[in-house]
Amino acid sequence: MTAPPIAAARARILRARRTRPPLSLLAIAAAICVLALVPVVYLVLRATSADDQVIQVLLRPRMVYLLGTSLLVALGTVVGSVALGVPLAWLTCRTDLPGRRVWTVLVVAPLAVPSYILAYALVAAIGPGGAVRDAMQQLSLGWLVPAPFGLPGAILVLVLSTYPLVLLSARAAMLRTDPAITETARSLGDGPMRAFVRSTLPTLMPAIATGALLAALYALSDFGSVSILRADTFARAIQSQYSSSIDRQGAALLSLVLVLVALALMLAEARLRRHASIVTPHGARRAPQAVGLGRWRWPALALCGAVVAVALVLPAAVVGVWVVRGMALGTVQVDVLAATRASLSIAIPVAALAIVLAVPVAMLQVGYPGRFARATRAITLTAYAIPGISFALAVVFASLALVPDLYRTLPILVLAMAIRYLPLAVSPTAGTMMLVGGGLVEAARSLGDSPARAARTILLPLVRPGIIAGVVLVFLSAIKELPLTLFLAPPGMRTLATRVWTDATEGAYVEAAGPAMVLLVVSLASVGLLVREPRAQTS
Amino acid sequence: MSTHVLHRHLRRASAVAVLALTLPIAVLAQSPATSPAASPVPTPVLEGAITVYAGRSEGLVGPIVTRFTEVTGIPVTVDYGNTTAKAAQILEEGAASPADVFFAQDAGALGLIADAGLLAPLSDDVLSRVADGYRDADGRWVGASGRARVAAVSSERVPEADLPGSILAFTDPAWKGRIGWAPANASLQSHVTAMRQVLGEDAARAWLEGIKANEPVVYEGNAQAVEGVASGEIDVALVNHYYLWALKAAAEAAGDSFPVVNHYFDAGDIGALVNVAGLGILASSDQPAEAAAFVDFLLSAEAQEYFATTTYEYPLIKGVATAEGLVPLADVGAPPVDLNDLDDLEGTLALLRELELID
Repeated sequence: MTAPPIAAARARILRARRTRPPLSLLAIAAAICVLALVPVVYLVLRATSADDQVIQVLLRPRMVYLLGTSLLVALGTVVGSVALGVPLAWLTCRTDLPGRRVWTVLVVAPLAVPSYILAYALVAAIGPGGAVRDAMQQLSLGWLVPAPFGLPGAILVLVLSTYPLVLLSARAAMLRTDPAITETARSLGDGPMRAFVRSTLPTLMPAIATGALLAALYALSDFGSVSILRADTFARAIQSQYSSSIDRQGAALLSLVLVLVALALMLAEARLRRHASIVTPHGARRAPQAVGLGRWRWPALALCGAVVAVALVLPAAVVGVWVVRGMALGTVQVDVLAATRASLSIAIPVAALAIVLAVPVAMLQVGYPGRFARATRAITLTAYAIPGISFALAVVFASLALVPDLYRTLPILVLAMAIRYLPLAVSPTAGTMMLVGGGLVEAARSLGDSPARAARTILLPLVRPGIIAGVVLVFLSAIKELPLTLFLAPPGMRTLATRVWTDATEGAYVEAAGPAMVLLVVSLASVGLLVREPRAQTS
Repeated sequence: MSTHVLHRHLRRASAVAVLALTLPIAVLAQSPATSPAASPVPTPVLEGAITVYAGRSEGLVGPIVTRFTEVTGIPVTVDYGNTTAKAAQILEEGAASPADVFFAQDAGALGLIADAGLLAPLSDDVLSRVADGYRDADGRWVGASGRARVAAVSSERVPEADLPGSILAFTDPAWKGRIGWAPANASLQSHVTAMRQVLGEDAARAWLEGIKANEPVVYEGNAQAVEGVASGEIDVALVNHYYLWALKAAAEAAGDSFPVVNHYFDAGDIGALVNVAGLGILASSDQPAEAAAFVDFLLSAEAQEYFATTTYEYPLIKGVATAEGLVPLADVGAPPVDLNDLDDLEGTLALLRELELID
């Protein structure tokens, strides 16, 4: 017994009635869209009220250079993350890699390591005064140690931070794809590699493109690690303009440019997905037969090991070394507890609010696909995709203009973050809702249940895995978040993230180590919840 | 154990772990004092909490702020950051700013905020404690401690004889690759503003271009620049005088050497500029009495002693001696620069941006 294909379920819903969505869902979705758009509107207003002088500034060769370096960093990140993410996805999903279950968790775990912690670890290891550099200098081998600063360091850190995004995306697609395709190819004589490349890879292109887009957007908007690594990118320039400019118009203008670049990337990815050939999964979703690696298992293990070592073990080790050094120096980390409390007092409400908002939005998208659902999706994705520093700046402008009494208070910060990370909660929720199939909700409604009751009694228990995934993803993102917290946290509130970043940019390795360690532990515990193996569906 | 069971256990364990870790802490979570509540009637007893926007580093001023709370019982929330960034923030926030006091690293930023009409006048009592040259002519801000601009140089790699008497001589190609500075730092920006005032726009521009041609190493802050001299990354750092002492004391306490000395420029040279870290009370503050108490405390003998002996700055009130080993303020030979004229921070930022020294 197999679950009805998604396409058929959706068609049934659409055939059943072409009615408008219920008012309650529409109202919630509309409110969310307004909240997501208002900051962007204010950003545009501030940027376009620029006088000639600022426009001249924008057209300076330096700005063109910064845009160029940012795009270079984004390109390098995409290439690197795809080159790492796709093979690792294949290895942990379709082969008989020894210890596959453990590797599946480990290769995704770097998602828990914020890019600025990785950057801090790199600098605290091989930067001036770094642990490894010091040790090598004792042996007069200091010249061997490369400097971590600049574009190559930034690309390395960003690749290691974003390859899990490509990996998860590719892996999800691999698991959805009918293994019959590959098996047919193999039965016709292709070797496992050839079968994968020629028959499976094309069907994965949309997923890889999505993952690559996420990586590119991440690379463009990241300013935490590029400022620690002193890499000249646009996002870093925005932050520098913001803090060294009396008039924030310059920063607003640069933010707007970056937003436009991000939107262009999103449109490109959407177009790519439409043109790529998509094979709808038919028939049984069963676990494919694992490809035997044979003697290739050693290089495969080496690859997995190397990636996990640099992306996970290295930051943990470096942070550990500096925590120990801090304890030896007697620097008491009294404020780590305060920073942890601060981080949690933001991240938990954000996750709760995001999922509360996500359920009606997901219901809208799954149950009533149409113009409203599409508009909501596009708007919420925009608020998520635009660079964090641009969005943070936009919220500052908007809140000072509209709700000055709430400026730099916890409610505004929580609301802004919940709106920003909404797609992270909506996506898995909607995903599980779709798998459930519309018929159950339909049946409940036809028997007289209101949409709310149908949701509560039928839908919610079945989509719980998706909801949990959504909550964890938002929590994880909120606890690592940097720009919104930097600009909008109440005065004196220092979170783990802002502490690590400010201390790391100042070269205060010891002070940054404690908060970094707590952040790593909390994040890694959360990532464990994200690991899923699909079960064969039975009706 | 099958995969599914393993993962179910893993998920459950992780969920329990996360809940166990976060719930107790979340229950204890409370955000620190946020924006002060507006009190309808000014009370004579000082009870309200204040928020200070500090452009100074926490390591340097944190202890004296804590001491203020101990002495007066007034809780203080400090927002630390870069002085220029904090000034920009105050200008942006206007009346909605949660800040009550602006504790800036230099006079230029204070002048800028004062000119925007955002500072309330200070009491005569507080103003009279400090000499004329170290406070606002209109009484809107007051200096709390003095700092001389110096070159922190390596005692090992730079012979005394090589050091120029004027800061303008560092544009000589002999210094290529050996200089470090922090263009984002408010003290340097204030120094450039002084150059523009005293020497003229063209001379200031020429100096900046000359230093840029020498490929200076850029640091986020002055402390990192001085540490760069100690570690050998650079030979000369253009900073304020006091960083050396605090860093040297810390290094020597840890048993390391710190082979860096301060080189003061010739008397009257623009390089010998003396600036002040200072305070202003925001006009929009809901706790003016508590804010005034903060300013009063930082200009008391106890706080001035702290600045003299712990942070190695120059105290500004009478009766407090400068730390031993420091060149006395009177002997620094500061050029005749009116600190009130340093408020054209915007012009300096525009120049630095034009020369691509900051973004």
